[in-house]
Amino acid sequence: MPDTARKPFARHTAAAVSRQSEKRRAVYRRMAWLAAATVLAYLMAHFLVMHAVLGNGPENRLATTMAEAVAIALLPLLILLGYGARTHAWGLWVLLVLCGGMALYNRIAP
Amino acid sequence: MRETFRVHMGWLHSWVGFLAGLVLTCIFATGTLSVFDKEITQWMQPEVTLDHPPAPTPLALQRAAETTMAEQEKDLFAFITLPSLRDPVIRVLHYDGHEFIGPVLDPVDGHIFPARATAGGQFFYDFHFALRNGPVVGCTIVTLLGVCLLVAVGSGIAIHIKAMWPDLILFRPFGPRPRAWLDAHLVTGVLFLPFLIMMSYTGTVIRARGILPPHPFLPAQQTEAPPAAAASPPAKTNVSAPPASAIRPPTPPLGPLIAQAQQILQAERCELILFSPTQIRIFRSDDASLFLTRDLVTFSRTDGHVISSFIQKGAAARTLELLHGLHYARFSSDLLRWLYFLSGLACTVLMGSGLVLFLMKRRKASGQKILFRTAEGLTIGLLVGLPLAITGLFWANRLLPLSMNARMEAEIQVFFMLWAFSALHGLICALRNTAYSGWRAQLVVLAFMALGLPVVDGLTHSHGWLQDAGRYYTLDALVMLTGLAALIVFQKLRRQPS
Repeated sequence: MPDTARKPFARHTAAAVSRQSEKRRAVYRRMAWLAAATVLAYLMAHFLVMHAVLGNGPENRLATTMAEAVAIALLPLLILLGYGARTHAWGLWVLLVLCGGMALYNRIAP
Repeated sequence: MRETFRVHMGWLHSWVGFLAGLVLTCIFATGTLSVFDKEITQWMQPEVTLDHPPAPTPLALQRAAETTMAEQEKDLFAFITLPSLRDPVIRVLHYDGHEFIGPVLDPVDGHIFPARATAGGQFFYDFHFALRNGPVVGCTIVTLLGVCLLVAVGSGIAIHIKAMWPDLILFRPFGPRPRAWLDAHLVTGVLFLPFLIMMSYTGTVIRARGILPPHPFLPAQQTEAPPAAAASPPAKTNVSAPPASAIRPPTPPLGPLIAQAQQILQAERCELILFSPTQIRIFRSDDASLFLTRDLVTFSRTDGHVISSFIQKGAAARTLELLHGLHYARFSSDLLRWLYFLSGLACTVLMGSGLVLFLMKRRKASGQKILFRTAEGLTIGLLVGLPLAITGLFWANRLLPLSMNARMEAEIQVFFMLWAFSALHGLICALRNTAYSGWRAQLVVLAFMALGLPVVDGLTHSHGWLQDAGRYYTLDALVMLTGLAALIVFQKLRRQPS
């Protein structure tokens, strides 16, 4: 086969490989973003439950259970916020600020 | 690649939905069956007659107490469930690690029915909330999957929020395949969205403690050492405890205690009676309202005097009772439970159609990849294999000898073996690139077994033709409908090219 006939095919293959690799990188980025959002959202939910435990005492099961109910409602919302808002790169920052704020609040005024 | 909000949410919805959906579909399907767990148990124990009013006689209560003592002699933590509108018999139950099982007593004369050993509807309940992996591992997995479901639902709403109304009314079952499946997914998703959110949220809240333990992970949050260690009694060594039977006093008559408990709790009925070496606890029945209560009266076991009563009050406690009650659905209203059942069925269809859609969308690009084929094999094993295994459980219930040793375990083994065969067959077919024939073969088997169940039920003469007809024929009819649905899908698949 002459070289002139092979070149467009090679270009096409190279483009496909590049697209494939770009797609793979995008998927890895999404997974990393989702993992980070999940960890931060989970920490936030945990701090919320801890706030109820530290504020009302571990023997107040009702307050702890209520805090768990609120935390479970917040957990998926926070994951969606952290992951979904990545277009503007502020989703994780919001989670980080919320998490840090809650941890600080638990430490200062349990 | 354009990284838009919708693209992100679509990716999240697809992958979390598919990976978690493989197990969540089983959880939703068995949960849907658990709405009628007592009725399924009754179908699986045809020796128990249910034509008595739900009011136990003093003689029957006395026999129930004696049976409970006999069970406790065997070191089982047995308790009594009193007759109710749904289940008008006395049951003396204990937890065997998976199900609550035990003898069934007539509420009039207290004789024990010679009921066959079966896990009954409790099997589906246990599978639903713990995947038969125990209350720690199983429940934690189910709770995590509940969070995944909430994430999938949230991302699904984010994708379709602009087209909610058209999605609600547009269903083209005879359109091209992906369109028809997508319409089915969207119509059920939008129509049953409140139910789906309510069930997934309340289900996750019930076992939230499994994933959000109320103790700090970080040492920085550690407060002073809890006083529990100091308050706990010192370990006794070299003191042999008397056997449990030696310290157990005789039980006072239960009838007056139940009447007294009903008066104190202001309840029409009581449901549970628990025994400890010194106390008897009688719990209010929760089948009359949406709230799942644990209000109780504690009596002395020696002379039957009231020790204390516990009635939950306050908005927070009532809210939690409501969250639990909404999920457990123990209402005695048939209409509400049928609504729950149909909604659960629709949500199972929603998840099943989601799994099929995931595969359809990727068949062209990844159809030859081994991971895709594995996913398709697992989907076959799930969507056809699970109903097949459930029908097999019902067949086993009718066909296994009544006097068989470990009969209950044998029934459960039939269920899991059928499911494993189905999954294996699906995987082999998918890996050999003959997934369509795998779907078709399993659908034929499912149709045969489902349509054959009423015949087996009739031929085994396990109950009279008119005995509790509604109960027996309703389950038979529902299984037959499953068989007909399998036949219809089989016919549609037969027209498709392989």
